[in-house]
Amino acid sequence: MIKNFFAFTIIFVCFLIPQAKAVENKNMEKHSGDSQESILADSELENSLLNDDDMLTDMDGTKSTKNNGAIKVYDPIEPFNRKIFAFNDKVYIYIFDPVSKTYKKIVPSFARTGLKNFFSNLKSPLRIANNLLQGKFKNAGAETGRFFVNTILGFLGFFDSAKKFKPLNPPAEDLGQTFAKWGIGSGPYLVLPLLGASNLRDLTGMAGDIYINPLNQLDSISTEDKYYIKGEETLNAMPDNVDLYKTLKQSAFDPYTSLRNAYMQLRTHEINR
Amino acid sequence: MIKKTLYTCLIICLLSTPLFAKPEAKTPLQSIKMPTEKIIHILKDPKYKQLTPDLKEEQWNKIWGIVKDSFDFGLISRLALGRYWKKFSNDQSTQFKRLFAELLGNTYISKIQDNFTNQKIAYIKEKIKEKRAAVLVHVELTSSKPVPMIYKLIKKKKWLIYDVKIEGMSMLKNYRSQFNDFLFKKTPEQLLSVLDKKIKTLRVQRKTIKK
Repeated sequence: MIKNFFAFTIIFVCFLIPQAKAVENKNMEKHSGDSQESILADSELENSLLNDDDMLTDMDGTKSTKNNGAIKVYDPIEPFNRKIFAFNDKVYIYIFDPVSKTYKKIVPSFARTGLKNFFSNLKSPLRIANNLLQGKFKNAGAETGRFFVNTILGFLGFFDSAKKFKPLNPPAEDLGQTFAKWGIGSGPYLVLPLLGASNLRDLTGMAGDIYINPLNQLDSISTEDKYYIKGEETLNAMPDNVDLYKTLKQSAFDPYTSLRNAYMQLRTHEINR
Repeated sequence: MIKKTLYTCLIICLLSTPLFAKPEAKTPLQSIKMPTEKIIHILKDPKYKQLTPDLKEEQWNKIWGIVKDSFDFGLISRLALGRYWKKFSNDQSTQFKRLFAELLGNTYISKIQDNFTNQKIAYIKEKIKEKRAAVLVHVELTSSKPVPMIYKLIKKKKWLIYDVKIEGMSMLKNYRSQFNDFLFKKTPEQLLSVLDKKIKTLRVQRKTIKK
């Protein structure tokens, strides 16, 4: 008797589940059907429109993340950060911008690109190390291949000969990203004097990267020369960076929040790809 | 004889209708490609080789016309304000939509006008999921790797853009963070007045010629 009752219940439930599903589907269809009108009221759709990283997977090499793309803001020293931000703004606009313009007039575009490639190539060992630290052995290999191709065929890296070969162009890794891969959180958001947006994790990573940078390990180059090299690298990158900053400032409603959010989005993207 | 000519005319008319019909973008990828190519055509137009403030304004207006038709500014405004949308009265939200669209138009179109140097654009692929779609585009640069851009679209009467992602950074999310941060402490009126002030300076800037 009891056995029969169970059997009956199971059959009944089995019959009910598809029915319930069908009703659910119908509701959903109804929902998307009149979305033309109610699109703005539908918060679920709003979420899917904002965080549709599920459908963007593979599009630009980003892996889909479980946290549906929401980025938490942890900015406990915002008033102080804003002061540094205001200071940086003055320096960028009144010093860096005119310096960049002069530099662009003196150094032709092809030479600037060449120098950019050269400095980037010098840092290859750094990226190789960080790929290895993250267990990305294939990319470490690609980065090594790129280093040899550009050093030999690209005249010490002035020409990016490997640019055309897609397998030799892995995304750039740094120590901040490595720390993130190891599960270390970003810590508080920081605005560094002159250098701009960062956070505690990336600042620590930056210090570590400077330490493991082969250029800084070479004893055959004097400390003074190292400063010259670093200075030229900074100067060469300045026009692009100032341009980027000016665009961001012009298009922003609140430049401080805009830069903070841009930095966080960019880093999240770099860590997850 | 007359009958024959008439028939010929009729046949020619019938055959040529597809030629006169306006080409319509059907897929998300086409909805990106067609306006982009149109804008590039305007940017390359020899008429605008030597820009005067008036010519620049004319060129800006032409591009703006195309951009306005390709973006869903209503949805963009709604998503950029998020939960604070409800705090805006009807008048305020209409005003916000207009001002925000102009902010985007003023900054990004002027930027393209100043910096376009015949960059090649590769339309890589599209992905469609019900009423949503994403299109991947590569902007080829001479000095570095191509910059990946993702357009996100929604299907209304036609496919309309509601977000642009560059190097993994969503413009929509960026503006959303700015407006939310502001409205956390301040009112919609204050937001509109700040936006209005900003646009007035941008309107002047957009007419200036960059050397």
